[in-house]
Amino acid sequence: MPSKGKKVFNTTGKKNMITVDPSLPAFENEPFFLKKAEKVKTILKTVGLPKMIGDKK
Amino acid sequence: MFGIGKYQYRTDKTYMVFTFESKGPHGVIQKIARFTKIGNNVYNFGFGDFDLITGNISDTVTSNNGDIEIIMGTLGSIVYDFTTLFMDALIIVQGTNTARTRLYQMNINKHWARINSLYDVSGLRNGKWEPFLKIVNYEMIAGKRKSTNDVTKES
Repeated sequence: MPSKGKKVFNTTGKKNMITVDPSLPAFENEPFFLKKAEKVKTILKTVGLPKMIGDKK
Repeated sequence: MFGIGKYQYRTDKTYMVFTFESKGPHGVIQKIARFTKIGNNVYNFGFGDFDLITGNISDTVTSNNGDIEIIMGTLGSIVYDFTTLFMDALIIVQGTNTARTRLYQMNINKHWARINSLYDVSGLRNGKWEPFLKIVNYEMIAGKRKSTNDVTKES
């Protein structure tokens, strides 16, 4: 995994939170993740989402 | 988070991908996790080993690197950081098989008091979502940050 980009620390409040590596790809079209997501989407089409997501809107 | 060991990880500029290195008897294994958007504020959490040579990602290999506790701690921290950035995100977790899903659930069970204070968690059983119970094995797990949580208290 390449790590040539400058690392940046983002903070929320007082906590150093995440190290951002701009050189890291987003893997948007990576088949592994797409396949997993499609499998879950298929199940959710049948069972719907848990009620909690609607409760907070 | 949760006071357990974790690996240092990094994220891409979209904050959707997170990587870290597992270190143990079998050497260094690159791990990769991704939050894939599958709906409005709904994300599937995928996780696997990243082969630096082939570029392939797999979650069917059992690496047995002796650091499962640290890996699970790291994944918990990643989910926490992601949901700090995307507070309304509903995270769906399902292992590649029943055993993997059970492994995730065992780690949720272990840290349930802390997780329950931060997240609303549901489990899918027999095609129906229900509030998460430690004694039940679920087919899929969903979690969403509680809106009252003060993230600045976390350290």
